[in-house]
Amino acid sequence: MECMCEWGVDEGSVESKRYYLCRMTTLEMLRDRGYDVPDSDLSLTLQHFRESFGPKPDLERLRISLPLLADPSKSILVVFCGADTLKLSVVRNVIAQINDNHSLHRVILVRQGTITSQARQALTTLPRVKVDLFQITDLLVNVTKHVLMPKHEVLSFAEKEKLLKKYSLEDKQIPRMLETDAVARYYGLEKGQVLKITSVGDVVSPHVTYRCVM
Amino acid sequence: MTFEQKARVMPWRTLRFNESVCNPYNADFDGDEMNLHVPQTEEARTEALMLMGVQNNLCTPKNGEILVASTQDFLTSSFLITRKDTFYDRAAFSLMCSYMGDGMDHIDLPTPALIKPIELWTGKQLFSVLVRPNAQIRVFLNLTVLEKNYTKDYSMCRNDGFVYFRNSELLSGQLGKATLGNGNKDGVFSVLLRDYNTHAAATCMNRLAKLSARWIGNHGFSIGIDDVQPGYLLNKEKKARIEEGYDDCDELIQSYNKGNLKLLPGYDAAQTLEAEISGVLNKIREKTATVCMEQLHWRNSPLIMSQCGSKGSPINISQMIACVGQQSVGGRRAPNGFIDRSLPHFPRKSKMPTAKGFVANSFYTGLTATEFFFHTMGGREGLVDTAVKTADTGYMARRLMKALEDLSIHYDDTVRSASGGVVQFLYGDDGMDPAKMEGKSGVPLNLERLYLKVKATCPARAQASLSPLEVSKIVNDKLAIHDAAPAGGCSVVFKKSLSDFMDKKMDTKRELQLDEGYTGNANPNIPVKVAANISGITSQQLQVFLDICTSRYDSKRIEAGTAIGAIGAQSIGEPGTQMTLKTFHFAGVASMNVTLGVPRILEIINGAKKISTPIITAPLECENDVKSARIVKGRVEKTTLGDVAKCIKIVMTSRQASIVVTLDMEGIHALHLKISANSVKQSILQHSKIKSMMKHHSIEVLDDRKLRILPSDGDKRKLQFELHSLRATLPNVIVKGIPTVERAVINKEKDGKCNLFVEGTNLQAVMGIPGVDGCKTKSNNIIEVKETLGIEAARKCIISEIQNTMASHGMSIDLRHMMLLADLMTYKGEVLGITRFGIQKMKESVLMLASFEKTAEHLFNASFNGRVDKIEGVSECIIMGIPVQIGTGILKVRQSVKQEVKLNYGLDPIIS
Repeated sequence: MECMCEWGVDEGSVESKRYYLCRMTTLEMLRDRGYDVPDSDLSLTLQHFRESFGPKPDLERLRISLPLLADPSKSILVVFCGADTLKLSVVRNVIAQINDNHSLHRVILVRQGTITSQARQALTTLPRVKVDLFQITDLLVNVTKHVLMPKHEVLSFAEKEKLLKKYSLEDKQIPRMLETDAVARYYGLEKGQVLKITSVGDVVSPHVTYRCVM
Repeated sequence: MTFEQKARVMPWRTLRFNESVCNPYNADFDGDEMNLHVPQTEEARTEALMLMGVQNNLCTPKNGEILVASTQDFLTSSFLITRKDTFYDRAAFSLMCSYMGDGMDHIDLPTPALIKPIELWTGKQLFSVLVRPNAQIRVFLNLTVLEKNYTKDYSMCRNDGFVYFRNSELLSGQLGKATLGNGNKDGVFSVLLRDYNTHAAATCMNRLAKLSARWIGNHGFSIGIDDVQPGYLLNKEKKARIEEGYDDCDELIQSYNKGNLKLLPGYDAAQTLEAEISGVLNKIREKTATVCMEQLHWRNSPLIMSQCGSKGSPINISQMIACVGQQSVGGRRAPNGFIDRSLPHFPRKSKMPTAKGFVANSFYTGLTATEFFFHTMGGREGLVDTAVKTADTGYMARRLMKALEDLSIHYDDTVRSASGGVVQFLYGDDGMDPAKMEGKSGVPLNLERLYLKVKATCPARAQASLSPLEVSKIVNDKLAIHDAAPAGGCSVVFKKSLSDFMDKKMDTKRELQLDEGYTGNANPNIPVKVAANISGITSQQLQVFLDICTSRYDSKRIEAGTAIGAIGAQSIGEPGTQMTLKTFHFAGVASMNVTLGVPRILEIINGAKKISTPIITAPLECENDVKSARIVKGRVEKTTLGDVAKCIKIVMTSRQASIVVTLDMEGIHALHLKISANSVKQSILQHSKIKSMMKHHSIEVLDDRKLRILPSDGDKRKLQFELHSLRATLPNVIVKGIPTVERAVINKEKDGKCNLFVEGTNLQAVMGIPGVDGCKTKSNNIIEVKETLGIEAARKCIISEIQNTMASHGMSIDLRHMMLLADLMTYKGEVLGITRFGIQKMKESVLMLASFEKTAEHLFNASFNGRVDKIEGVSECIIMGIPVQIGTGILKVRQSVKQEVKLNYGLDPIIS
């Protein structure tokens, strides 16, 4: 951690730090989701970030587009939006870009202000692409790195079937996790996916449990 | 009744039982009655005997502590018998030996401790006889306990507080509650129960009961007026202390009146005065109490009772003899019942100790009229507390029971509800039975004690001791073999604790640098011998130790079918009844109160959205820098324009009217806030009320400390109103910080590190503040943790919050119960409270819900919607009168029939 006196030299530095943290968390999130994130991006320091993006980073330049490790023909796009209310016109712009790029299967939209209901509606009704909407405050801290957080792993379909068979369970009998849960959003999970949760506690650990996204 | 398998019903509808079982029955003799249930089938009789028999329930599943143990007089007499200076001649000793077994047991008289001039036995020897009356009984008790009055130096403790049994011989220590009483895991009876069996513990308890009842009947034990008479020295000391304290209070009051009282952090003047005075008055009571306890004769009956733990505390004694102390109502000194005074005997606005409920007299000297009245005020609060608390906790226990009743362990080790939904994949993360845990805080074994026992019961003799390398090799091999066994290995934590423990035992050897090179050569030198005596272990000893550990670990697994939900609900509900309703408590820093006790438990269990004292603990990135902590505090804490503005005034000129805001830049800099006229402009524009009003207003920044706000150019007649309403709203504009945060306090830990306590909500915002270590920021608001970090974090939060609350009241509950509760509350993906709404979401059965609350509503809805109930849960089965699928009911006997008999329910063909 850099010294406190460095802070608040100007407003821009606080803002650039916000963008830096948000970008880092997003990259970590993409890595955990299985995208091909270059190591150079993950190890970028705040200083380097400021050097390359300036005190008031350009939102267009912050955009991230990365392919999936398992299937490079599929890729993801991260779009950062400004502090104003996210209106339908802006969203239409983004949607047009999405439609141009056929390799996209997922888009993450990071907003700072509020979003109008029409804009939200427009995002949810896209045919091919799933859009995850994040508030910038969600991404300042990587929730999976929080001390209260146990380790989460996403199970593959085969692993899930094996688990269900082992305990002779149905989907709805496994402990649940909501789709809106912070962790489910982080991994971009859909209904029916199962998470393996390994917690490292004090008296009786480590301990494995599972949750099914509902 | 006790320790025999049948009830002993005496003439005239009375019954008799051993005093030791008062605890589990919650029985006393103030008119208690008991009911008789007579199981009618052989099966029912067996179940009752096996599951409910006193013998099989010596331990509480709440935390594995022993529940059936000596109480009251038994403790007193044991304490008196084992005094260092008690000796008995042959006649007395033999008589006492025959007391304990009704004169029917075979007893091997030990060698007398003194032989000349006459044979004398010590009281401690009597307890050796009590544990192992003759050589045929192969009970080898090994334990060490620290009694309440233990000081230091192990068996050389000057109060004789170090109890040491070695191979069933009491070597040192005066027995008291820690050794013989309940609520302990290392006492005599617990150890007998764990190392041998229930029978060993029960017979020993019986012997002690018979011995002490008969002995104390002859010896006599009572309390008289001379026991509570203060001596000359105490009177003198008490007078001096009270005068001193009153003078201090007068001084404080005077400086308060003059207004030069030095304020405590976070308090105003009146609060500071109260806190200081309370401190002084408490000190008076404490000081007189210590003098009083020092002055007491060693044969003083109340003193003996408090020392051995049978009844009463030092506070009770000093209240009788020295000084009753400050009476409080609601955590404060006596409130004003009259105008500006507590009673008309005192001048108005008096803050003197006597006017606010300080009782300087003792119960022996007698209370003055006003003191007596204050005492009744305090007493009434206690009564009201108990009355309110019973209702609250009773309802809580009922709800808990309803929510958890159908959870049970299945044969695949999962905990499931009646409908088959998994709540936990492995009970309590390790599948252990909380009732059988031996170690502190729910650890399966107390390794230290087992090690002691092994070393005492199988002496090393001439065998060579192992080197640390060999030890670790044997340990790892044994664990590997155990893991491969079909019974299944042990948890990772247990393995680690075992190898760590053995490693630590080898430390002495390592320090003497005898570790790796030494292989047991022919003439061991002195340090080797010393090390072997201190910490050496032979291969045989190690083998026995490891065998005991692993086999006993295996026997502690929880059985399939156990109604662990019901046990958990009882374990959490029961301590609630014992908690005092006193709600507040300091959390390290002054003036930061946290709700505790029953109200807090209710908040957690109800899954309350709004809790009364939300607190976020935020560690800082620069932990050691107070200045940076202040900067972060400024960013977190809500600051309004009114706080930082020097003035907000309406300026009228001939051409225009406006409001001019001048910022107090010195103050802003002193508080390390980053506020400028520009940032204030932004925050004013974002204020919801002004935003709507100020469509056309404009804000001009005059210089870095001045702003001018121009009203709209609309109706000139309304201008005056508009200006004034703006003037009234502006001070409330939040210019910095998080709006939901009430205040933030910098907390300095002992090691000089700082962290921030934030009173208020919005965990996410606090985590995102630069300078706060977001990954370690925690909140006590469970719902908020769920919103920001997700369901798993909320689960952990529930566990730690219940644990903290229980621990702050000195209740120990096994972690596994709290885990089960937390898992139940979160297994549907959202945090469900144990309320009628939460339970409705957890359970499917209509009958169960109808038997809980809103009976008619549930039944009408169910019949309207054509709902089906499979009769799986506990409540449904009871309603229908069929066996419950839990416990012994988990088993079903099925018969394979070769060919199903076809039953014809149609009409008889002849008729048709």
